[in-house]
Amino acid sequence: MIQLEAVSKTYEMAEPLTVLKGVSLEIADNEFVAILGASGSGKSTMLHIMGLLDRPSSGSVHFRGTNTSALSDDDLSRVRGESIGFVFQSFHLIPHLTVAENVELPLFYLRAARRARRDAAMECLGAVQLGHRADHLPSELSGGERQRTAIARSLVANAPVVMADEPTGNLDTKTGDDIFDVFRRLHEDGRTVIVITHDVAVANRIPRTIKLSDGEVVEDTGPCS
Amino acid sequence: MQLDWMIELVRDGLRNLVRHRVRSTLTLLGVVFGIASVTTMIAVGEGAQRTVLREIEALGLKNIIMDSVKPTEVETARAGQQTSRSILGYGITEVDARQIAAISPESSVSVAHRVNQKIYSEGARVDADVLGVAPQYFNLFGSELLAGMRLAEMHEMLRHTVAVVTPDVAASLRGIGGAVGKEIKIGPKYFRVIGVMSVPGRTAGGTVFLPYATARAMFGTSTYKWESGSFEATRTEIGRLVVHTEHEDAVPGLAQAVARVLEMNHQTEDVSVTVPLDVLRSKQRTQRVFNIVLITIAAISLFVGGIGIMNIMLAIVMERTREIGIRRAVGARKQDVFMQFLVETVTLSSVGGALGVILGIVMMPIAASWTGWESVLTPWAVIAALVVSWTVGVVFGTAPAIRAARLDPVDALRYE
Repeated sequence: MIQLEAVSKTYEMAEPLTVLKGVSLEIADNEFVAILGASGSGKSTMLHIMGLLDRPSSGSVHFRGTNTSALSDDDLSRVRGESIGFVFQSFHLIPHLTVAENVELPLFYLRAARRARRDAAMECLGAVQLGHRADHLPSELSGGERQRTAIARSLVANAPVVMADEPTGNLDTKTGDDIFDVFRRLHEDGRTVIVITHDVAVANRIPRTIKLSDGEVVEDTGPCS
Repeated sequence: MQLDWMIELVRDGLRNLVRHRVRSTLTLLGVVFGIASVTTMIAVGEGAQRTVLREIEALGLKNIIMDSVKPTEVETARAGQQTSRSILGYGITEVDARQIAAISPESSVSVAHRVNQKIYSEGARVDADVLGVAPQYFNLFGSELLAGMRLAEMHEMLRHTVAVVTPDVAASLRGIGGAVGKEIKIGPKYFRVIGVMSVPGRTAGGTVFLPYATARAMFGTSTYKWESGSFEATRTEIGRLVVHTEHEDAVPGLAQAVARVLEMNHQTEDVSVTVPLDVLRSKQRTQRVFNIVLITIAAISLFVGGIGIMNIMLAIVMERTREIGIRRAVGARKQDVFMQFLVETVTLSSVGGALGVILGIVMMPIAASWTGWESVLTPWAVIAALVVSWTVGVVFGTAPAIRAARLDPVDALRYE
């Protein structure tokens, strides 16, 4: 379970900028959640905080029962590596690593043996129908294939939570639908899937929608039974 | 697992190095030249050290060597040292030898008599010095018998007209083997060559050794020269005196005592004293200065090379900011990022180090011919050069690695 309690985030600038204003919410295990909002509504910041990439200015984040404010930077990295898989709008693959090496990366930081990493990467690439592209560079793949590579990377450490920031934003409709189907399957497999989107049509296909506006939750369709 | 992990970091570092060949090569140049200088310096330094040691040890580190030298005319006139019959007497005297032997009862004193005569063999002139020596003289210099036999007490006692020659002289007498048994003419007298001996150090080169007693008896202590219408008569009682101590520690004190005896007995500078131990120390001091100069040059080169590497690595960290963000997002800890960039820098500098060692080996013969010293590459020199290159990598890679590790993951992911 992911629990946010009165989470605020303010960026210290010449004019301090508050992006999240006292957000409280709970996401249960195996939920499929859309976080919907216009550009600048604070949805990406919320994903970074829920994904333990960033810390809130105030409030607390409990990740699967642990109050993360007490965790060190190294602990947060470990939790990210073991429990959270990220999928980004612009794929965020390392250009000079092959597809398989990109997918192996989380296991590399969990100090898995080379053979085990390769086997796990090939299995995940097979699951997204990219086994035949394992030794290609990301630049040799289409947009959809790149995003499927990023999804394979988010699965390789068997993370129970997958967080995706506008995963279909850079893809055409047909490819976007294919990718969305992959997320649906991940949810059906028992994972918690959180998708950030500005697209109402995408959000409507997801059981629970949390709508953000100007850093505040303005609508939450609530946990689905 | 940790080793496996480090190997992967090194592999990744090498891959990045190959990926940007031109940039890597330019970055490495400073380190390559720095390490090449270090390698050459150590090799030439080692070679010089060995050459100097060999030369000086050949003179005998436990020896004090005195040679009679003709004083300048000004000195002679000042001292009024001309004898009544216009014979110029100079150099080491029997009195000196007795007094020096008296002040160093534990040391052995050996004398040599210099003969100023021309040498001929089968009518051809042989260019060499002639020295009358006692048999034990050769023991002082670590001489080695190459052919025939040594000078012995018997030759001394019976005043045999025999000679032992150095390889240079033997070469002009039909080779080392062929020289033994040949006759040579020294002044008006004939001598039979009975042996060939290598005599390292100062006396190396063309020298003909005769039994001391024979040389004294046949040629005396005086020399007469008629040249361009002028006549010169000189007398030297002892051409060379060698004091051999039992221990190196005794040399400095004894050298001072010998200097005092000579100062008392001689008004002119007609005896030159060589203390090989002092020469060694002086050469070692020169060597140290040479090393310091080279180390400074190498250090400056490595410093500049290191700054170059640091600059490029800082630029690489900037260029790969988003990659750092991705790595942090998938679980890399700060120290993982730190290690990745440090290992990459050390890999870069190590490759530079290896290339530098190769360039150093290529430069060694050039440096050797330029300095006139031999150069010797020891495994220690290679290890030292590589350790220096690693150190450059660690020292100059730390700042970029810290910068990479400190990047905020969210900012890094957003970096365009």
